[in-house]
Amino acid sequence: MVNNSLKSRLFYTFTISILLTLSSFSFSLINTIRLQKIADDRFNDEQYFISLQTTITDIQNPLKSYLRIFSTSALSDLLTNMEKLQGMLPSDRTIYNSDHEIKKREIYFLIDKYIASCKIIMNQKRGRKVNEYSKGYEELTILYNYISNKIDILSLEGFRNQLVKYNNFLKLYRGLQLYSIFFILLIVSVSFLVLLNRINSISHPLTQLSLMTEQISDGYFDMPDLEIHSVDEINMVAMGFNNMKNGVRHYISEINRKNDLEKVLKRMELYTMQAQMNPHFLFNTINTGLQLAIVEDAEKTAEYMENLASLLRYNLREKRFFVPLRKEYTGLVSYINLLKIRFPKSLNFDIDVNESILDDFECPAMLLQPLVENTVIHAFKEHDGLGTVRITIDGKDKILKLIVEDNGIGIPQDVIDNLLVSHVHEYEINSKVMGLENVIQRCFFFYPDQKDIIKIISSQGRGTRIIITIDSEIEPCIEL
Amino acid sequence: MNRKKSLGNILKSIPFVFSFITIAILIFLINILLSSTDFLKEESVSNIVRKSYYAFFIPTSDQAFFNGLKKGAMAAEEDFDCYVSFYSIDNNIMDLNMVPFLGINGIALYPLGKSSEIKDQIKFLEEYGIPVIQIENEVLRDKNTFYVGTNNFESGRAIGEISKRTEKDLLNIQIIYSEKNPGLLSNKSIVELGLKSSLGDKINKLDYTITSLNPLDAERIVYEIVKNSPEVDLIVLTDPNDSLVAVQAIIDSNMVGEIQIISFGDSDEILNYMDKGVILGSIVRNPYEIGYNAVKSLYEIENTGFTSSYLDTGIKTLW
Repeated sequence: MVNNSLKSRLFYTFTISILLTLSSFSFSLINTIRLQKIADDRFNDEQYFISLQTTITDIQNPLKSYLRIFSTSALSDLLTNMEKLQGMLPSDRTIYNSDHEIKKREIYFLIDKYIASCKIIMNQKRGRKVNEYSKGYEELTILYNYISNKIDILSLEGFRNQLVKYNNFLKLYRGLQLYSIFFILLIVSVSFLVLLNRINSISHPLTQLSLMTEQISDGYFDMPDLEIHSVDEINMVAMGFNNMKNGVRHYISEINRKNDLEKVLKRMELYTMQAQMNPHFLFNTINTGLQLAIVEDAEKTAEYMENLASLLRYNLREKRFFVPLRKEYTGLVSYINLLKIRFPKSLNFDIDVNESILDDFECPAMLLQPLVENTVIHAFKEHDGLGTVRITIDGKDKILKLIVEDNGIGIPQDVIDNLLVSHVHEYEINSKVMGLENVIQRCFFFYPDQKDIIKIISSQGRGTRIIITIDSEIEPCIEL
Repeated sequence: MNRKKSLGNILKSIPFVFSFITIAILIFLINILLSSTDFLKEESVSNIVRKSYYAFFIPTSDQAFFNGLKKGAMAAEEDFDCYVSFYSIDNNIMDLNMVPFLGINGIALYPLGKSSEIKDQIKFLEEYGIPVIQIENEVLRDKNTFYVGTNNFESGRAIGEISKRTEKDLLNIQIIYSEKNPGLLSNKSIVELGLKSSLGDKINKLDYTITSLNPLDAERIVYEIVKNSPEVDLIVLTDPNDSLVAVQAIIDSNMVGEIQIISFGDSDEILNYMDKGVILGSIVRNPYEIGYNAVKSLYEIENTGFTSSYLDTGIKTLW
C-alpha cells in the first residue's frame, strides 16, 4: 500500500531524485577513474619497459668491457644488472588473448634468451674461447637490438592503441557528460515540478480551509463538508475541520434548544406566579377571617376559611416543580371543600383515591386543581341539573393515572386538537394561557417524548374525561 | 475562460513532457552505458587465457587471400584454445630467426623467397623442436614437415578444364608464374602435369614466364607475349594482382578475344571481367580452410605429436 503522507511523498521524490543524480555522477566518476586507469596502465607499462631496456643496456656495455679487458668492476656490474634484470621479469608467462600481452610475453622470452646467452658468453670468456664468445657477442648484439626494437614497437603500438582508446573514451565521456548535465537538469526540473505540485496540493486545501474558517467565524455553519484529496496530513486536517465544524454546529443548536427551553421554563414560572395570588396579604387576611369566624361561632365560615388557608398554603409555599402525590392530593381536597361550600347544590364531587399509593408517586405541582377549576368554570355553563366532577387517583406498576371527568357540556373536538398541540419550542406562548392548557403544556414540557401523557375524551352534552398517565420510571425533563 | 482552461491543460501536461524527455535522455544514457561496455569487453578479451601460442609468417601481398587465411586462423583460435599472431616475411627473416626464443609453440609458414634459405630456416626451427606448417608452398619434405594448401596437380587440371571452354582445337598456352605465388612456381612441373592430364593432345605449345614480386611486372610480360609470340592464344595467370594487370594489358593491346585469359582469384574486378567475357575463367584457392587447418594441424602436433603431413584444402574454378 502506497503511503500518501506528505512526509513519504517528499521522501520518495527526494530519494529518487538524489539516486538518479547520484547514479549519473557515479557513472561519470567511474568512467573518469577508468580513464585515469587507462593512462596509468599505459604509463606503468611504458616505465616498466623503459627500465627493462635501460637494464639490458646496462648489461650490454659492461659485457663489452668485460670481454675486452676482463674488468672485474664490469663483471660486478654485469652480474648485478643480470640479477636485477632477472628479477624484473615476471615468472608468469600465461598466454592472454591480446596482441599487446603476447608481444610483452615475447619480450620476456627474448630477455630470458638474452640472459642465458650472456651467461654462456661469460663462461666462454672464462674459458678463453675467443672465437665462440666473439661470435656469441655478435649474436647477442643482434638479439639486444632485436629486443630494443621489439620494445620500441611495443611502446609505439601500445601508445597508438591507448591513444585510439583514449580518443574513443574521450568522445564517449564528453557525450556522457553532456547527457548527464541534461539529465541532471531534467531531474531537478521534474523534482521542482513534483514539489510544486505537492505544495499546490497542500496550499489549495489550506486556502479552502481558511475561506471556510472565515465563513464559520461569521456564524455560517450550514456549508457542506470540505472534499479534499491531498496528502494524508491535509486530508486529516480537513476531516478534523469538518468534524469540528459539525460538532460546533451541533453544540450551538443544542445551546439554542436549551435557550428555548429556558425561556419556556421561565414562562412556566410566570404562569405559576400568575396562578398565585399575593401570598402574604391573602394569607394574613384569611387567618384574620378564620379567627373572626371562630370568635363569632360561625363554624361554616371557619371551615371555609380553613380550607382556603390550606389551599393557599399549598399554592404559595410549594416552589418545586414536582411534589409528592399526597401533597397534590391534600391541596386538591382543600380546593374541592371550598367548591363544595360555594356550590352545595349544583355540584357534586366524587373523589376516588387509592390512599396507599399517595406516598409512592410524585407528580408536577398544581396539576389536579387547575383541571378541576377548569371543569367547574367551563363544563357546566348552560347546564341544567347537578354537575358531577369525578376525580380518580390510582397507580399501578409505576404508572400513575390521574383522571378528572365530568358530565358537563363537553369540549368540541377542534378545541381538543388545538389544546393538545405542544408549544414547548415556541417562543411566543400566550402569557394568558391558564387552566387546562397550562396543565397540558406543562405535561408536554416535562415529558416531551410521551405524546400520550395527557388525553382528552369528550362527547358533546355528555361530559369530558381528562386522563393523565405518568410513568414514574421516565425521568421528567426538569434539568433546566 | 477557455484560454485559462487550455493554459491549465498545458501546465498539467508539462510533467508528462518532462517525463518523456527524461526517459528519452535516460535511454540515450543507457545507450552510452552499453557502448561504454566495449571498453570492458576489450579488457575482458585481454584477460582470456589461451593454452598455446602459434605464429603465422605470411607475405603482405595478395590481401584478399591472406585476409581470408587470417580469418580462418582466427576462427580456429577459439576452437583450439590458442592465440595466433601474424608476422610479415616480405623482407625480414629476423622474426623467423627469433621464433625459438619468442615462446611460440608452432608456426605456419608461407615460404617466400629463395627456397634454399627457407629450407635452412625450417631446419633451424626443427632443431629447436618448433613444428612448422608449410602453407601453399612445400619447400621441404621430411618426417618433421607438414603441408597445408592447394594441390598443384589439381590446380593444373583445373586450368585444363577451364581451357577446354575455348573453341580452338589446339592451344598455345603461356603460363605466367609469379614469385608472389611461390607454391605454384616451385611446383610448375606438377602444375603442367595436371594441365596435360586434362587437355592431353589439345596442347600445341606450352611455355611459361615468371613475374617478380614487382606488381607491374606482368604488364611488361604480356606486352612481350603479344609482340613476340603471336601464336599464343591462352595466357594463364597464377597471381590475382598479375591477373588484373595482364587483363588491362590485353585490353590495351586490343587483343580481347584473340588471346584468352585464365586468371587467379575471385576479387570483384576479376568477377566483373568474367561477366564481360574478358576472362575465360578463374582458379580460386580456399584461404579460410588453409588458415583454419594450419592451426588445427599445429594443435594436433602439439597435443598428439601427429597430424596429416599433406592436407589438400581444395580449389574452386569459376567461369
